[in-house]
Amino acid sequence: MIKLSRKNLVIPYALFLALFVVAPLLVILYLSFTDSNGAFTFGNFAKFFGDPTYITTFLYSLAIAVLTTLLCLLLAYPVAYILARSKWNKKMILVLLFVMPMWINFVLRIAALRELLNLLGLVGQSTGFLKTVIGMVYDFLPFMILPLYTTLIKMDKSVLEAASDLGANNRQVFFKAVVPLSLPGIVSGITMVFMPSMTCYVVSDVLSERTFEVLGNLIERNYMDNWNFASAIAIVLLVIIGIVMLFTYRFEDHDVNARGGGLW
Amino acid sequence: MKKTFALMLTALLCAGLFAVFPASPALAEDNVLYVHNWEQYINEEYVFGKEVNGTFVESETGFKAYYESLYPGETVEVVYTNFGTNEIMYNDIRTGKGQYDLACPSDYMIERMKNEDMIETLDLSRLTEYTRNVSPLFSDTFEQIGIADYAVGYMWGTMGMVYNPETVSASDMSSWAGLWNALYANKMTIKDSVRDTYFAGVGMVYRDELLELRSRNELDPADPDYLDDEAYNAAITEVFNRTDDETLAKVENALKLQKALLYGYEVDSGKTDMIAGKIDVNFAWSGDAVYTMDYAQYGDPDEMTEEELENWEAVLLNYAVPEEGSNLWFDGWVMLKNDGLTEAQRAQKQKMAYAFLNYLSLPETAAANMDFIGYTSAIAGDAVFDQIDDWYGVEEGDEGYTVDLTYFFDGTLSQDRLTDGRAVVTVAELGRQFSAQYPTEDIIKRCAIMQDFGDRNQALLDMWGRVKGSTLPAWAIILIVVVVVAAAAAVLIVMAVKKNKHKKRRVVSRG
Repeated sequence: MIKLSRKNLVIPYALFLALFVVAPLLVILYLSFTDSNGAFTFGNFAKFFGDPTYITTFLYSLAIAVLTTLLCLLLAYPVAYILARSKWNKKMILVLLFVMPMWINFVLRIAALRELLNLLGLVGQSTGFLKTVIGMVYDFLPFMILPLYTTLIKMDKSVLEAASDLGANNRQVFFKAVVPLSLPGIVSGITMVFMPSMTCYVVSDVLSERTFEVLGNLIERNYMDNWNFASAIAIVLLVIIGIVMLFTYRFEDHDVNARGGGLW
Repeated sequence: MKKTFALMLTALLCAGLFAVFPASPALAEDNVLYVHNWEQYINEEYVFGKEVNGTFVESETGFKAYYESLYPGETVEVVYTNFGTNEIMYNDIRTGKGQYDLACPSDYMIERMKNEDMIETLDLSRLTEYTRNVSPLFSDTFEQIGIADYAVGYMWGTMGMVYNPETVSASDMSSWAGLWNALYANKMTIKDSVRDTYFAGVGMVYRDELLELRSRNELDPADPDYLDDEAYNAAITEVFNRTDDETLAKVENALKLQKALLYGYEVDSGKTDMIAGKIDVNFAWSGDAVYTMDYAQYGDPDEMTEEELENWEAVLLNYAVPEEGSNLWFDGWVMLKNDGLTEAQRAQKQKMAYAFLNYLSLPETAAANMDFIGYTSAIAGDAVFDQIDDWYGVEEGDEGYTVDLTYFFDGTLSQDRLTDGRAVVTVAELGRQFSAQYPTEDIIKRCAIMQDFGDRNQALLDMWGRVKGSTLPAWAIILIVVVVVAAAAAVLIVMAVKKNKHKKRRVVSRG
């Protein structure tokens, strides 16, 4: 008889984790360090880092992810701030307005954006990077607004009043109190935007008419004919995201309890 | 009580996890035929049946009825599945994702599967309907490339350019160079597929050589330089299938030049973009070309109302196959090897498979499939021949263009359809849907079949990767990497310093 304890209740998820998360990861790891005959090799990684085209694609992907995250942060922070401080009766409608795009299918939205950018005259090879960034910002902005909004709205107003009482002007209150207190929200926003914008390739495919490539495209193109190389690229991507997450984690661990949770 | 409930829930969840994997596909029944085909590549209503008010009604013209008339008292079930690309299908079979009896790969993939011993040799004496109705074009071609005993022809076509004659000159589109013409910058799309795009690239870089071969074919047969049709076709097939390093480098350069002129690469959007008038040139397979021209001319019958269809402003698009030569492609049915069967099971499987292939090779089935798919069947015969008149024939009293299709229909038609022993049709117009479906013999002559890249596959993929991606100069890469690493290091240092300050402050305040 299995004893019912918290430990046992975890079994279903542990099984799920083992089967669908850990096992595929191990397979990818194995494939990335072997050649098509199953022999151990570093060749897949050597090939990736030895080819200027792959490195360029890699740098572009990184640049797109960083730019998208920064732009989202710049756009979302004021919005979230205004939303959090506005009167409650209007607030829900406003939040709804910003989150509603997420209710519409992502591919449809990108298809619509494709037509719109065409109308605006953004055609041709040179616009691929710009269009991809626009598309990513458009798509992932709600993922930045929501965590920011939830941290800002939970913020203890008395702290801000105390800051003012102690002689801080509005600017100082904002930069010395509001921003540091909302760091957990910023961190989870960055996490939520950076990760998908590093891996997503539908946006660049549709908007650039498949003339601009990100790492996701490399994986997609190679996985049919060369699983080993595709796996190696996936591992590189995983490591990069891991490093960035480590960076953000250093900010996060200051105050675990005040994380931008709630809606997430 | 609570505990038991929770425990049951846990057990249930665990069970649910395993329910994701079906125990094993129901392979036990011996009268099931597993067919793996391209998406939207068969007239399902005609071949299988359709749903009426929630119940499935078997088609009277369908395979089941055919099978039961062949073998009275016996039944057959078809499990019909789809794939999206040859590579996906190949991996489906290789990784044992499913058990398939019949599959429908393209030319080069049939070659690869044959070389890798994945498919059965066919007994042509059991394919009576196929051998009776298949177009001589395909029985000859299959013989030539050595797959006559391995595949049954299904659909075929050429590759060429769909273009809008109002904005694009026909003479520009008569050559591969048309796809490199700066006049049409940002108005052209090409397939986002290494095989098709590479083919266009080879056509471009060797166009002088290809044209010279063509002119040698047009010489007087007495001339020592003369190439007969067979030698000419063999020569261009060699050119189009070159994958040596020098060719690869040349094609890479050509494709990079072309990329700057393209509106984009496409997988499926080329058809709709062409119909919407966003682009003027689309590099396409003939079957897709027919679809595009149809919809541009008549509108979309599935999406539009009667009224909209009536008010549709017809755009007449054209289809052209480059003079230098192009690609003749086909898809064919192959029977997959299966070692897990007993002799009796194998015999039963083959009986069903041969019946299915014979059924697909009936001219009536072929015509029904063509009607649904819009591609051209490798099956000839009366019903297929009559369909041409039905679709493209002239109105009474009008003069049309007479085209000789003997090369395709020879030996498959009944006497009353022949004119002086030849299969001649009179159609209302040329250069459009009809020409895409049935190219002239002259065009067929200059179309080459693509072979499997074999061990050059990776080199081609890498080349294609360099075309699709962009490449920064080495100094820029180094500069960027240095800057990024420096920035990361700076952030780390600043954070470390701050942490130390924190600690110091704490120590001070405590003291």
